[in-house]
Formats: sequence, structure tokens, C-alpha cells
Amino acid sequence: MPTERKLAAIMFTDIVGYTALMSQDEQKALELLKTNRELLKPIIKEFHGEWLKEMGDGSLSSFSSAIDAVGCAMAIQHILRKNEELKLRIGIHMGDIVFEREDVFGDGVNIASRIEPLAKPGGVCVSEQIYETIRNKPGIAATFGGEHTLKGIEQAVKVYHIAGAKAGPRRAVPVQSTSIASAWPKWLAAGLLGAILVWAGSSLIFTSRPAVARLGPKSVAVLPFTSLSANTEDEFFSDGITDVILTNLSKIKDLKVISRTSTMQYKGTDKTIIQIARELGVATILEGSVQRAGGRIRIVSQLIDSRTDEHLWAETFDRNITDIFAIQTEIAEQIAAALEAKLLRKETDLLSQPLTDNVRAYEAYLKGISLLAYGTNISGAQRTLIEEAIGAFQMAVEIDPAFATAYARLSYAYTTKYFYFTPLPLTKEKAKAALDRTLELHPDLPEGQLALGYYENLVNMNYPGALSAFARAQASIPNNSDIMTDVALVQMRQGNWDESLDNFKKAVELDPRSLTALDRLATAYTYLRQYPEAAKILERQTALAPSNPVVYTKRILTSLLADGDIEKAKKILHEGTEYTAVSKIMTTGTEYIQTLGFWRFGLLNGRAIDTIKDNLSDNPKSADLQHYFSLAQLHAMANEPARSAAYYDSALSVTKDMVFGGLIGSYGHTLHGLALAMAGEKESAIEFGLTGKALMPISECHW
Amino acid sequence: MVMAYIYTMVGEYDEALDEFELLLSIPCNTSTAWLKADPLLEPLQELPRFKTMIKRFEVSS
Repeated sequence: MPTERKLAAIMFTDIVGYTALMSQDEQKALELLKTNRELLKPIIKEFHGEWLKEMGDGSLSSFSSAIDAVGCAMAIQHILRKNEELKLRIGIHMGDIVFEREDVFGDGVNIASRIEPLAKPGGVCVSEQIYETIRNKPGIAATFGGEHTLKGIEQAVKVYHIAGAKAGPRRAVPVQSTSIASAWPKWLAAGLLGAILVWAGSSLIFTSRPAVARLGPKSVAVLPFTSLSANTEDEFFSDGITDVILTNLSKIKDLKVISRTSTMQYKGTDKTIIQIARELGVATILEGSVQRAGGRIRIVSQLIDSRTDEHLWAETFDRNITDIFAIQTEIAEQIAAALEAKLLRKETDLLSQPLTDNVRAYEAYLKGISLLAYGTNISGAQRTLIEEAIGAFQMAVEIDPAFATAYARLSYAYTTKYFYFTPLPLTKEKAKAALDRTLELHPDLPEGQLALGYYENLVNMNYPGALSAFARAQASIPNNSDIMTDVALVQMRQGNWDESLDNFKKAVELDPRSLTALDRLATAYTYLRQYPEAAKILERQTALAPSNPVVYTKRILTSLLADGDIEKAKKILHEGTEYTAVSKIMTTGTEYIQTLGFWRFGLLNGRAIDTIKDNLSDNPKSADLQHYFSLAQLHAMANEPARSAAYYDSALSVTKDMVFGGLIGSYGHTLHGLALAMAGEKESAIEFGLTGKALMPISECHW
Repeated sequence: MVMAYIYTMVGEYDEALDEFELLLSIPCNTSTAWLKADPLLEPLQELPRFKTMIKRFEVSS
């Protein structure tokens, strides 16, 4: 091999305490070395690095970018932060590296290996050259670690400790946040997540790391199309078009299409096509852009084979906006052809039917579906979005009264409003009227069958009816994890737990990165008291969405349900506070038991009241029911009955508004009963509690 | 579930335990470990019926 010289970022790792371990337990030491190798190699690859060689318990890798090298080192240390046995020191330097006769050497290698011992166990130490490259990168902070004379190096070398990798004195350099996910640049956090998934995948819910094309050669993921329009409000347009193209492809039985809930998380991602395909287990990726100007539209789209990174198909549609319907159909048909997927006659018929022939109606529809997609996880904050979606769908059907799909979505929006917020007869009537209209216009429309399924499930509690409707929708939209999840939810409400669990598992298998599918599977395990399984799913969710407070809330809940161990729960809370606000973790969640917050378990060692008050001064809108319940409990625990009573009064006034404002059914009555009980009004408390229970009895809903 | 908490808070312990017994016998978001650990349920935790109930469900699980 000829001599090759290049400038590279060189990362040197070394196992802490390896020599001592080798002398005590050689077998264990060798196993640790193997673990180290198996952990590092895929992460290095994830950050575009090259594993060069092992030297005893040390390893040497090179990166063409200093940021990648630092990102990789931080990811490794983050993953190892809880590993008691394997602790590494990491040193990084930018310098010359010489390849000769299958070996590597050079000053760069020498300096990196000399810097490494200066890192603390679990830490990352970098040279000045690396520091100069990363110093202005948002979210990466470093502290000066002094000037050192290194063996074999003439000049003294300045070194820096990377903060956030459990290195040196973290607080010495002020940073916005010490949270890795929120403080790291998005691409770096994404790399970390990828690394965690690559490493952790096998030990979580899958028996093996998701392989490329796990779902077969005819599998496709539709990434959110980019909006290139000058008007930022056009974002909804490109999101809506993505949704329609995805739905169209889902109607082709021969294709495996990843659901919207999994693919939307790649909006604006810096990940490569190959990374995304590997994470989703698909053979191909469809990506594109949408540009609208005046009456013209340009859609550029390409289908990429993730195994070869080659284009399988690419097309630019430059047409009048009135052609939008035809373009979307053509895209679906051409992709089916490119993947050699069979297109059945009825599928062609379904695809070729335009949703509407009115562009304005279609625009309103796209806006609606960008606000409220089928199967969305609803939270209190989405009430406004639902109202806006209703407005958009209403406008669509007013412009085009024959727009069956828009009626279906309108019905779904009203059903959602009825179930989650306002169970009033009028809301139910509107959901039914829109549903009747869509079924009248187009009885076989899959979107209409989905709307019927939701209506029967959430409004009528007619579970067999809901399952029949979902089955009809599945016949036209097969292999869709969102519908599988919907079916499983109905089965859960019926008390058919085994079937429900099977379907939740299938949904997760089909869409491993769908937070909704993972969340629902974890919930099912929790209800079935299979806590270790629930915990594994929630760990996976944490890796996918580390700054989402609900993930930690659920992990605390599951942990306390499993063994009631307060110390374990505290550790989860502590982990979460690296990524998100403690008050959010303590008060998020829709379960009744979570509505009271976890304050009473003393997870904050007496700092609870201050934390809530700090949160209120930062977020005045958080003065809600949970806020009052929490403070009332905490003042009661602190033997301050007068203050406690004042907060119970505030909680009571909120629940009173809910019930007497006629806004909320079972949920409102039950919470009002709880507030009355806390305020000591025994008879009314029991009365309202029983009313709430009667509105949603266990015999009608097991969940 | 909330009804059980309401009964506990207003001092109707037998009714509260009836509710919890039902909840422990079906798939539900509660457990013996939780009931033993939740400070809001302190008034129940020393009752002989509570202890018997916990023992019964711990054995059956």
C-alpha cells in the first residue's frame, strides 16, 4: 500500500482501569474489549468516521470533520453514562495522519493519544485545533483545561474539556442549556439519536438492528416535501400534498408504505437518505419539493434506492395548479411502476378519482389535514387546532359540496372535538351530518370508512361497528400502522387485550419510529401490568424524542407502578431534567392519576413548591388545574392548611367552569368530584364522581 | 380510578377499597406497588383490609 497523507480529526479512546482489570480477571477484560469494539464501530460510522485500529484497550478513528468527531465522542460518552463497567477517556486532535503498509501514524495520532489521558473518566478532551473549529458551534461548550507538555511533542499543547459529555467542570462555560438534545445543534442531536438507536436497537424491542429494507424491496417512505414558495404560509400546502401522496401510495396493496406519524419527524432533517432508510427499514425513499406561484405549480420529486443511493425515478411536474390532482395520481402510479408493484384495477380506479376539481376547495382541505391528521394524539393544547381544522374543512365543503373526502375529515374533526373536549349533542350531530354526507357521496371511500370507525368508537361506543368500518378502510389502505393502532385502541376499549396487544405490536413493527404507535404499545403493556416490557418501549421513545416531557412522565409512572421505588423514579426525573423542564415532567399527562402530578411522592426533595412557582413566572398560562392541584397538595404536606385550601378553591373554580360550562362530560365531572373531595365537600364529591363514572363505566370502556 | 381516590379523601374507606379491589382484578393503570407507595392513600395503608387485599393480589400476580 503506498503512503497516503491526509488531514483528519483523530479520535483516540481508552478504557479506564483496563490494565487493573486485566490482572484481576482476564476473561472479563477481554469481554469488555469486545463490548467496547461493538459499541464504538457503529457509532463512529453513524458520524461518518472511519475505525482505523485497536491498540490494546485503545482505539483510533479518523473523521473528515472536527464536528463529527466531537459529536461522535459526545454520543459515545452519553450512551455510556450509565454503564458502570465500561468507562472511556476520549482525546481528539486535528492533524496529519499517514497511512502506510496498512498502518497509521503521524504527529496527529501521537498528539491525540497523548491528550486522551487528560480527559476525565467519561469525558472528552480536545486540542486547541479542534476547539477553534467547534467554539462557535451552537450548543457545544468547552472549558479550558490548561497547557500541557506532552511526551514526544516539542511544543506545549492547550487542551479543552467538552461540556455535556460528563467531562470537566460543566458549568465553567455558560451555555444556554446543558441538555444535549436541546443544546446540541439539531444534526448533532440527530446523530446522537441515530447512534443510540444503532447501539440500543438490539437490546430493546427488536431481535436485531433494523436492517436496510426490513420491509422488503417494495417498501417506501415519503419524506415531507419541502416548500419552496416565497410565502411561508404555503408550508401547509406542501405538508398536505405529502399527506395525499402518502395516502395514495398506501392504497396500493403491493407496496409497504411507512405511516405519516413516522415520516413527519424527518421534516427539516439533516440526515442522509441512507440513514433515514435504515432507521425506517425501507428500500426506497420518496422526497421532493413544492413551489407555487400564481396559477402555476412545480413539484419536483424523486425516488431513491437506499441500497445503492441511486435514483429509481425522478420527475418534474411544471403545470397549472388545476393539474394538481392529476400530478398526485401520476406520482403514485409512476412510483408503483418504478417499484414494479402490481396495481389492481380497483386501486387504479381509486387513485384516478380526483378528490375535488376545485383548487380553492382543495387548498382549504390541505390546510385542514395539515392541522389535524387521522389518528393524531390529542392533547389539551390541540383544542384550537381542531377548531381551525373544522373551519378549513367546512370551507372546503362549502366551496365544493360534492367533496366527499373533506366531509370525512370534517366528521373526524367533530368526533375528536366531541370525545376530547365538548360532548354536546350539537357536536355529535355535526359529526354525524358530515359522516352521512360523505357516505352518501361515496360509500366506499376509505377515508369515509375511517371517519365512520372513529365516530362509532368515540361517539357511539359501538365497538363492533367501529371495527367493521376500520376493516373496510384497511381493505383499501392496507399495511398502515395508524389504522392498526386505531383498531388496537378499539380492542383495548372492548377489553380484548390480547388482540389489542398483537395489533399494537404489528403497528410498531411496521413503523418502528412512530411515537404514537410506541406510546400506545407502552400504555397497553402498562395496563396489563407488564412493566418491564412497557419500560423497554418507553426507553426507545426516549431515544427518539429525548426532549418530550411525556416520555419521562410515563417512565416515572411505569416505574412507580412496577415497584413503588421512589429513588428509581427520582433517577428518571433527573435524567429528564437534562432535556426538559422538571415542572413539565411532573405535570404532563392525561391520565387522572397524573393530573394530580407526582409532587406527592417527594421526588424533588422539598424543592417542589419553588419549582412550580418558577414555572408559573416563566409560563403564566400554566396556572391551570394541575398547577392548583399540585400546590394544594404540597401546602397540605407542608402543614399549611390555609394555603392549601386556597389552592383547592382555585382548582374547584376551574372544574366548576368545566362542568357547568357544559364543556366536558365524564372527565369534567370526575375531576370536579376530585376537587370537591380535596376541598372537603364530601357529599357533592361523591355525587359528581359517581356521575362521571356513570358516563364512562368500566363495562363500556376498559380503558 | 378517580372514584377510589375520592372515596379515600372523604373518608369512605370501605367504598375506596371496593373500587381498588375491582381495579386490581382487571387490566388497569394501578398496581399493588403503587397503592402501597402513594402518599394520598396513607389513610388506607394501615387498614387490615388494605393489607389483606395487597397480599392477595401480590400472590396472584
